[in-house]
Amino acid sequence: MASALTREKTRRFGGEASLGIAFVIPMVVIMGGLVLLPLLSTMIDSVYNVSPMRAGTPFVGFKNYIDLFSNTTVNQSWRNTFYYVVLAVVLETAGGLATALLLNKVKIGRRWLLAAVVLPWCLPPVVNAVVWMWIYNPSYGLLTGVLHSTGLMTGPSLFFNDRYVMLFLVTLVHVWRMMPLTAIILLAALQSIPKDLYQAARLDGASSFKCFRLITLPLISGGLAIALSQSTVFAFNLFDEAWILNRASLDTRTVIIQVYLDAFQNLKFSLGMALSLLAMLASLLVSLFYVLKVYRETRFD
Amino acid sequence: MANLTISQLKKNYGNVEVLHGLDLTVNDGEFVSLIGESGCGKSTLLRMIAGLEEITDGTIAVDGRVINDVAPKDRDMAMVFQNYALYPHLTVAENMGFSLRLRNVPKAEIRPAVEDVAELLNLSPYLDRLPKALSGGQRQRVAMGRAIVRRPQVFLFDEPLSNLDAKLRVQMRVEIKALQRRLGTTSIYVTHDQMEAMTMSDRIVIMNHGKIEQIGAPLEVYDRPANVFVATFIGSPSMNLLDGVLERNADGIFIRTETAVIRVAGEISGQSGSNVIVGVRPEHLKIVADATEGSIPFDLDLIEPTGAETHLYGQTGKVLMTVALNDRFNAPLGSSLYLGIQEKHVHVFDKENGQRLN
Repeated sequence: MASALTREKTRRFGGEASLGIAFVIPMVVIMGGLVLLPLLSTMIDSVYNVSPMRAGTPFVGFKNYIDLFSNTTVNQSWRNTFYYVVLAVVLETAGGLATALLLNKVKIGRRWLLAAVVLPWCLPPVVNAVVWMWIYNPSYGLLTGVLHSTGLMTGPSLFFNDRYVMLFLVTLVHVWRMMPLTAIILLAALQSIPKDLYQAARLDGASSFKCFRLITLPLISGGLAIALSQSTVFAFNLFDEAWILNRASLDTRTVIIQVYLDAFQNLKFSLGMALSLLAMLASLLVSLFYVLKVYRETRFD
Repeated sequence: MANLTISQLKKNYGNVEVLHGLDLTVNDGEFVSLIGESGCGKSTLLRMIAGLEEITDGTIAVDGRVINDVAPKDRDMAMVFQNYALYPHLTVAENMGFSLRLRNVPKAEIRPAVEDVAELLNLSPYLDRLPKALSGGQRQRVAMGRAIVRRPQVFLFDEPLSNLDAKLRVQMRVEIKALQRRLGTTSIYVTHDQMEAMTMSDRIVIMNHGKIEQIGAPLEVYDRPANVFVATFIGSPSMNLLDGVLERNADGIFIRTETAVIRVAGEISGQSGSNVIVGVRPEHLKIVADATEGSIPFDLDLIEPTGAETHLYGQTGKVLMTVALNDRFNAPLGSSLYLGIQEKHVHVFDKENGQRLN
């Protein structure tokens, strides 16, 4: 019976097709089990009221979502997050592009420079944030010391007292960690541009700036879209830096910190799930925009 | 108007000198080919003219104005690259109009200019395609079109046909030549294909190890190679060379080689008794029935029928020789034959320095 079934299947799919399926199955199982299923169950649970503090899981429809929109604390964390995203993406992209262009020009020791550039990205986020916490420390921090010794600031440093300064400083830590990735993605894109295109452009009468705008930029647009997407997604998911530097402070609280607080401090699981889904949706939408608007097919063959 | 004058041009890469003081004048409207083996410096010379390589020493001048320090974009030269260097993100029309766009020519003028050239090159149906949707020959045409649209003073070609298949290469060769005639633009064409150089050029520059060996019209270079290098480089199959000794006597001038005594027509410099090299092109040899005066004994090793010609490979003494016959030829391999030479087709070179003597 079993062998008859197998034979039937072999005939239907053919040897090659079943080999292909065999190759794909591990990936499908892993992605399905670890990404799609949890996502699905999160979606389902977000319309119920799941809480360890009460019996039963009543169906509440979109109540959790409606509650989130009218919650001022949540709205504040959204505003913080958007601030992070805009600032981080702009700084990472500009800084990453500048770094990549510079590395692309360097001829000697590029490997070592690359290794040095990548270092912050290799550090665990928590370690990175702790290092910067020391730098920002009002009494013995490096930043305070530098500002005092150069005379740019007198008196005690009170960075943490101003909401916007604090948001900026948290972003800076995040950018410090994530910029290398953007730089590497863009460097790879830069290196795939044939040199003779620039020579042709120079003979066609292009200045360095025109070469950059008319040749480089369009030809790295694929890498740029990828770099923008990843920096956006990671900025939306910002947690460690804000948590280490300022804990749960509402001034610097991100959506993901809000999810953590709702779900695991206040034990409102479903509310947290709904909020995390919204955060995911937001970063997906922005990434979609990049792919549609920035990405261009630039492969020759 | 664009007369190009290159004088005492040198190029160093670090401590290595790759071009050793070149002198070359290209007249307005002339089509000049640079030919030589890989690494002889022909592409480097072209790129120096374009401004893509720095000049170590010497000058390049256009109409008397030295352009050593002029940026490539201000030299008013257009280059066609070996792999075309088309902008992959721009359409055919945008590629061709790129230089005009950079010169801030109004859009309303760019399009007609591009369309005119596209018409000329049979590219009209492809103007809105991206380069990736074109065949190799079409891409080559776009690269040509990009150079033509801007009406430059000088065209520079860097082995533009080497990525095409044989049939297309012949076709494009004819097209480029016709186009250049029509436009009358001074052109410098780098190639390693002597057929291209011979058929397209007004003059050929033969380069070897960073030096110019000879400059001359195609047939002049073929008929009177200046030295042994040019003699063997131009012509296929390559010229036969035999070592010999120069003899002057009452009957005339002769070269005594290991296996034959070859008569030389006309005047010749060189002392009697000096060591020389005799050169005879394979197509100037013929099979003669018996040993006659001046004939060369030839032991046949191999017959290669190419259709139009028959190539015979063999040796005289220990020296390998090639014969190219216009007719079909058949003989058992290993047979001993005799080769006849026409006196006027004998080339004599100095054994010491390789320079032509007659």
